[in-house]
Amino acid sequence: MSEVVFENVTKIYSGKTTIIPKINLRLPANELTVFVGPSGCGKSTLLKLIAGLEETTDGKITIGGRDVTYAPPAKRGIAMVFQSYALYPHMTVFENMAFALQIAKSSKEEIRNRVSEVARILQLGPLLDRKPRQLSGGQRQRVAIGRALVRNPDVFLLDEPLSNLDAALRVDMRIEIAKIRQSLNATMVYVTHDQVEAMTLADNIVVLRAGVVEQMGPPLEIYHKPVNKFVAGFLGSPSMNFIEAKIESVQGDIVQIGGEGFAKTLAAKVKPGAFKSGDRALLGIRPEHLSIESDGELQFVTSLQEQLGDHALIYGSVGASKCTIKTSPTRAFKAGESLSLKVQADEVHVFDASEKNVVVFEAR
Amino acid sequence: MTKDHALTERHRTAYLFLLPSLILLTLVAAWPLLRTIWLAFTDATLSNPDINWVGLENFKGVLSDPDWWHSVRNTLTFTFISVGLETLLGLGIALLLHREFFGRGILRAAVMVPWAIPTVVSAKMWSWMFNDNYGVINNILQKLGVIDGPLAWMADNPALSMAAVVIVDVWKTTPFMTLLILAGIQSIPLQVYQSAAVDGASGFRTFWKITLPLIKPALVVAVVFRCLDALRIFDLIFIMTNNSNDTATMSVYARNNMIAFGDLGYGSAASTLVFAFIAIFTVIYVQFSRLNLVGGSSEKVSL
Ligand SMILES: Nc1ncnc2c1ncn2[C@@H]1O[C@H](COP(=O)(O)OP(=O)(O)OP(=O)(O)O)[C@@H](O)[C@H]1O
Ligand SMILES: [Mg+2]
Repeated sequence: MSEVVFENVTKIYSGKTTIIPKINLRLPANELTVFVGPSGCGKSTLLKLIAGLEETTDGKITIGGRDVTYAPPAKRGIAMVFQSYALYPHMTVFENMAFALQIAKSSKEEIRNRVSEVARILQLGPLLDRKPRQLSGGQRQRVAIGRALVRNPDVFLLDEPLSNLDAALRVDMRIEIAKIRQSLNATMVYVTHDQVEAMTLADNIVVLRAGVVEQMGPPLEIYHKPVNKFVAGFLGSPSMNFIEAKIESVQGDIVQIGGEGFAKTLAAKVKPGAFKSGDRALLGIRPEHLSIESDGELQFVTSLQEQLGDHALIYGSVGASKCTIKTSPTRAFKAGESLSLKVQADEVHVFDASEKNVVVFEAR
Repeated sequence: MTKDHALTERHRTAYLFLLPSLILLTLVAAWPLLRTIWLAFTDATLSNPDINWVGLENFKGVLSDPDWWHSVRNTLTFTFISVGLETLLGLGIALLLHREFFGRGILRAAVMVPWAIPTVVSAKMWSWMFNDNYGVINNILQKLGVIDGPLAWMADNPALSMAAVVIVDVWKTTPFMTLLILAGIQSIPLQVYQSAAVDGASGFRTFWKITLPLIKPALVVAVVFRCLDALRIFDLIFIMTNNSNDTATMSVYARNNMIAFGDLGYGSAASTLVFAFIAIFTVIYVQFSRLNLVGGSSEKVSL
């Protein structure tokens, strides 16, 4: 039961660059939490703070209730997989995996059993006598994961473990990690830039921006109920459309949204007092929640179409805002064609002037 | 154009580009070397232009001269002790300079200064510092109470003279070692150390199991370079010990016979032996460490 908790943690590099202003975060025990966020937002820094590879400037980090803020990495019950694999180049695969156990003074037999068990899970058996340079990228990554697994960690940290692999191998390894995750009784923290990895592997996703948690929650919650424009735009591919709009009228908590490019107004339930009539607003709607139907709410002008076999993407605009539609394969459209779009009513997001999502989500 | 034809064409171009350096090497290296070896089989002297072939006479002479064997012993002692100390010190300083601390850049530059000073200058400078009567070293040692009276560093005691020479060589050449080893250390990625930290390796263990094996190729190259240099040591000893017989090395012995006694043939034989000595050493060392050299370098590429 190794919950990882950040309490008011601050990280300032070399006394001047504040990377993590002040973070409070609770990573549930035995679940897999994915960190996502733009490059440089501090994802790796957070992992290194958990691992003890970077010193915490201020605040407290606990693992399983134990204060580890100043504990050395080896005393934290963690294992880490680095993006660059970071295998020991002069050691064989076996020696790489055995190194930590040797240091922990396990018996020869214990080491052999443990290493071959993990090697079996990861199909590394035939590679045990090879040096890292004699392995392919995917094999190296499996060794890196194996080296971490051998230690039987309470907390398993993975920093973009698949980003150096090609697309096909990535899918394989993703499935492999999902399997490991099921058989492993450990808290996992996983950093990735890959949407699919985040959505499929995570129990919880933490969306970070400049060292600040924008939102944390299960993947589908983040997808369906983003708290602000940043989160809404960050997850999902192609990303959410944001359409400039105006509040036409307010009746209780129901607002009517209209504006340039609207064929008729669109009703949405928002938090009380969020808007008054005439306010500017941003309508958020994902490409997959728009459909080409007559008598829709939006007037869409096409500019480009991409046929991807199982679906098609149509790029264009609504009023002055860019807009993308994801549909099942359709006929080819000419550039400049005008189409009527229907909005899936329960997937509408409305952002106020501070970019907060003010829509009231009803039993989704 | 056929494939073979294209190949020979390319080879010809390659040789054309190599030609200038080949000619230069012939002029400055091969010719003097071959001529020295040839002179070693003659009775040439500096003053007598008549040159006669004498076969192995000169070599017999050198190899049966106790002074020669004494100089061999001196050379080996000097090489062993100075290279050993330089390696250890160089490793230590390189590890220190690899750490991050305030003023590291300046210190890295400062450490190189002794290496940048010409040998003749540093030899003279240290000779004065080692002077029995006015030298600052005796002065300090006496003030500290380490010695009662002044030591005659450069005079009667060969061990003391050798110690002084070794000290100066270590002072002068440790920076070179430091630099080569530092380059090796810096090629190890940070993540490898971070892995070791997560695996629970102590600083000591990290050094033995990670750092040392990974810098071995750099270390081997550095030691070979230094040994080759030390085996033909001349200037430092010649200047500091006033050409004394007690501390003469192989190169000093060869030079004395050739220049001081004017015996060109005999001196050339000694020089040829020095050359053979170093050549054999190199071959043995490279053979001995070939596997490691090759293994090490390709490991680095694939990190
Ligand atoms: N040792 C350091 N000294 C100073 N600044 C650092 C150091 N390490 C990282 N940073 C800075 O901290 C910020 C966060 O870095 P971090 O590696 O955590 O980003 P990240 O979210 O993992 O990004 P990426 O997705 O590109 O890996 C960056 O702006 C980076 O420049
Ligand atoms: Mg990172």
